[in-house]
Amino acid sequence: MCVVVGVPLWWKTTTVYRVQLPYSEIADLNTSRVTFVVDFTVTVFDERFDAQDLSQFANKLKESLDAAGKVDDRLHVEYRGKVREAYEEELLLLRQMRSVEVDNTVVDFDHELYMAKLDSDNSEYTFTVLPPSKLDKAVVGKQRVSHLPAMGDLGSLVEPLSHLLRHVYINEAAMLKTFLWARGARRTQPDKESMRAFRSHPGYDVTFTLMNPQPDLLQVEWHIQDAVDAYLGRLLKALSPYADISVKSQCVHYTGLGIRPVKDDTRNCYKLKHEKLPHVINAIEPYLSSHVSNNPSLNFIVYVPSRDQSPLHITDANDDLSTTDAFLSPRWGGVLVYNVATPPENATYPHKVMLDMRRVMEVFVSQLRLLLGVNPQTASGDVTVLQPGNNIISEWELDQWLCGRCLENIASAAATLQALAQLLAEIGNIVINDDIGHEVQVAVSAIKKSKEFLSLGRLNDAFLSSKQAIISSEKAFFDPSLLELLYFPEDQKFAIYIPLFLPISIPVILSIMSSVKWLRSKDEIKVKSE
Amino acid sequence: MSGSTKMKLFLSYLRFSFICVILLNCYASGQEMETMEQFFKSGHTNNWAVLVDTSRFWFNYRHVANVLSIYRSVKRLGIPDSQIILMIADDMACNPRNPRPATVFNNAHQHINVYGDDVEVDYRGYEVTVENFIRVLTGRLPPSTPRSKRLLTDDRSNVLVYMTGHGGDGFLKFQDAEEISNVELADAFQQMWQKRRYHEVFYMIDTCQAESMHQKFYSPNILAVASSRIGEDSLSHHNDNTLGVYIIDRYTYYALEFLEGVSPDSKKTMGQFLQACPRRQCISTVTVRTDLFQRDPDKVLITDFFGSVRKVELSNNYIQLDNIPLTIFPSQTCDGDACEKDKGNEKRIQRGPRMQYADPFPVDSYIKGVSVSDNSRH
Repeated sequence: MCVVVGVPLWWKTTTVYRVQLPYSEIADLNTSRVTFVVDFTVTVFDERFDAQDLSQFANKLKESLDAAGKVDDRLHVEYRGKVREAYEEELLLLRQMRSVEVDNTVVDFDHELYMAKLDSDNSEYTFTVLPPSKLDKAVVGKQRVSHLPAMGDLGSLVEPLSHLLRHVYINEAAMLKTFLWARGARRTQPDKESMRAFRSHPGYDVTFTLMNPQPDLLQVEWHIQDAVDAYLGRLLKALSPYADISVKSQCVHYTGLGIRPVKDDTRNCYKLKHEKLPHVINAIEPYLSSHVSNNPSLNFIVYVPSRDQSPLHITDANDDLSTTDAFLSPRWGGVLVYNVATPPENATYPHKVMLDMRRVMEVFVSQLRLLLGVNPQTASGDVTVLQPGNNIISEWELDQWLCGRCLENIASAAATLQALAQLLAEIGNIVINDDIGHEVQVAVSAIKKSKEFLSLGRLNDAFLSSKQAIISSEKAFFDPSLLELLYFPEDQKFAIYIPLFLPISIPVILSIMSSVKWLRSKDEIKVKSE
Repeated sequence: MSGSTKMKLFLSYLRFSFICVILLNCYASGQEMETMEQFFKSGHTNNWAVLVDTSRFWFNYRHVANVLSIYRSVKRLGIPDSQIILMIADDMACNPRNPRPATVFNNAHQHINVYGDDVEVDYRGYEVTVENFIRVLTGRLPPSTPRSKRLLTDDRSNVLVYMTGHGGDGFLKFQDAEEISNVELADAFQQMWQKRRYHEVFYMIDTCQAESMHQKFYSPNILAVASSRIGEDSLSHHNDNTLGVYIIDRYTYYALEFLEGVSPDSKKTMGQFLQACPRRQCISTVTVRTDLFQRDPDKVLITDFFGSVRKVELSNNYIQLDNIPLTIFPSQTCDGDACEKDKGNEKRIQRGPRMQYADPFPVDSYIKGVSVSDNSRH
C-alpha cells in the first residue's frame, strides 16, 4: 500500500515541471541551409536584337548565374530571371530620352520608368538594355532598375549584369559574413563593417544633441524638429514597418569637450587630433544616456566650439584637415563640430546664430545609414550608382538591408534557441514553464516561415517573420523564471538530506535488521519442528 | 560534486584550451595584419563594468572602500555611469559611525576620497543578492527593470567584473545570508558567452582563497586575476584609528595606486597591471588565469577594460541632400532679396501640433486667479 501510493506521489511531487521543447527541430534550424530567391527581369530596348538573340542571351545568363549561385554550403542564392523586349510604352519613354551627352537624362528616364510601373509593382530588379547612343556606361538607378548600354552583342552583357546582380544588388560576400557571424562564427578578424553597425534590433533610439559651451555669448538655434521631419522623414517612413526608431533632441549648455584642442598657427585655427577624438566622447557621454528604453541608442552631437577655441577643426592621422569636421564612433553615433562666425564687436550678447540644418543632416544621415548597417555604396570605375538624394536610402539598398538583417535575425534567433536548448539540457532541474515553451514554439515556426518566404523571394514577409522569431527567442532565453534552481552542488544536496534522513534511517535500519533476524529464527524453528 | 560533472568540466576545459591553441596559431599566421589601424586593434566597441561588494556592516568598511576604488578608477578613465553596474551591500559613507560623513577614503591619511562627488549605486543594501547578480550577468531580469540596472552588453563589449567580500574555497559570501559558488559563476559567464553578451571579460576578485573563484571558468575570452591562492587569506592594508576598522584591502589598495597613474590615453598594459601587487606587498599570492584569454596580456592596453576608449572613424563621405527650406524663421544664410525669393517657394512641412512645456511656476495665473480672495494666510 505504502509503495503503491507513496512512490508515484513522491515521484509526482518531486519531478521538475518541464515543457517538452522541439530540441531536434532547433538543432536542425542551426545547421540547415537557407535559400534565397532573387527575381529579376531584363528588358531589351535595343531594337537590333530579335527574339532568338534574346532567348540565347537568357540561356547564357542562366548558366552563368546558376554556376555562381552557391555562395556557401549554408547559404544559397537562386537567381530567377526572364528576358523580354520592351513594351511600347517603355519605348516611348526611351524616345523622349535625349542622347548620352546631355546630363541627367538617365536620372529622368529612371524616374519615368519607375512612375510608369509597367512591371507589376516594381518589386523585381530590372535591367534595361539601352542602345549605346543613349547611354555609355552602366548606371544603377535609385529604385530597383539598372541601365546597361548594349555595346556589342547581348552575350557581352552577361558579365556586367551578373556582377551588378551579385555584388551590387545582392552583396553576396557581405550577406554571407553577417549570416555566419550571427550564427556564431566569432573567430574571424574584427572588421569595420561588423563592428560599426548595430546588431539587428527591433528598435533604436536616436538622440540629436546640440552642445553649446557658451550660451551667454552665442544663442545657437536649430530647427531640429523641422529638419528631422524634412530630411529624416522619408528614411524613418521607409524603415517604420521594420524597426521602431524614436527620435529625440536636446540642447546641452555650458559643457565643453574635456580635452584641450591644439593651436595651429600656420592654419590659424585650433585642431582636434585624430587620436584624441575618443576622449571627446568620454567627456560628453554622461549627458547622453537614455534611461527609458532598452533599445540601443544612437547619439548625434553638434558641437559649437567656444570662442577661445574657434575655429576648431578635426585633423586626420596625416595632420590634414577633415573635410566635414565630423567623426563616427561604431555602435555609438557621430559628432559634428560646427564652426560659427564670431559675433561682430558691437553685438549684443547673447548673439543669435542659426544652424544650417542641411549641412548638419547631411553628415548625420550618412552616419545613421552606416550605424544602422546600410552598406556603404561600392562604386567601381565602370558603374555609376545614382545617389539616393533626399530619399536617403534607395529601394534596392533597403532590399539589401532587409535581406542582410533577415538572414542575421534567422541565424541569431536559431543560435539563441540552440543556446537555450543546450542550457536546459545541461541543467536538469531547471523549470521550463508553459510561457517559455510557447515562445520557443513561436520562434521555431517563425524561423521556418521566414526561410520559406525567402525561398519564395518574398523579402518583406520574410523579414517580418524573422523579426518575430528574434523577439520570441530572446523572450524565451531571457525569461526571468529560468534562473531559479540553477545549480545545486551534490555535496550541498547531501548536506540538506542527511539531517533529515539520518535520524529516521537509524531506527528503520535497526528494525530491518531485527526483522531479518526474526525471520531467520522463524525458519530455524520450522526446521527444528520438522 | 559528482565525478561526471567534473569529467565534463575537464573535457570542456580541454576543448577550449585546444581551440585557444588553434586560435593562437591562426593569430600568429595573421601577423601581417598587425599593421591594422587603430580601429581594428581590439575587437571591442564599448566597455562595461560590474562592480560588486557583497558584505555589509561597519566592520566590513574595507570592502566598500575596495569597490569604490575600482568604481572611481573606471569612471575617471571614461566608462560612463550608464555602463557601470555598481552593487554595494551597505552604505559606509552615510553610516552614523563614520566620523567623516559622505566620504570613504583609501587610506588613513585621507589621501583619496573614493566616494567622490557622484556615486550612482545601482543595487544597494538587500538588493545585493546572488540572484540579482546572476540575473544582471545573464540578462534574465524582470521586464520592469530600468535600463540603469541592466547589463546591456553586446558581442563587442568588454566587461570588467570586480567582486569583493568574504570568501572561502569555492564560494563568495553574500551578506552573511547566501553564497555564490564558483560553478554558478562559471555557468553564468558561459551563458553570457553563448548569448554573445561579451567580447572579452576581465574578472577581478579580492577575497580570501580568491583563486578558487576563477578555477571553474570554462568560457573563452576571460582574463582572471585573484588576490590570493587557495589556502591563503587576503589581508587588509591598514587600520584607521578614527574609524576603528580596517580601511582597505591590500590587493585593491595597490591596484588603485597603479590605476591612479593611468590616464585615458595611457599605453600601460594589462600585463603591468597584473603585476601591480607583488607578494611582498600583498602578503598573499596574486594568481592570474590567462589560458582562456586569446590575446597576450602584455599587449592589451589597460584601457581596454578599465577605460572606454571608443573607436572613431572620420566621416569624410556624406550623402548630398537637396535643401528643403525650414520656413518658420528666415535662415541666416539668406538675406534681402534671396529671402523674399525663398518665401515664394516655401513649402510648409506638415506635422502635428507643436508641443509646449507646462509652466512649472504658474505665478501669473495664480496671482490673477487668487489675489481677489487672498484673505486667509497659510
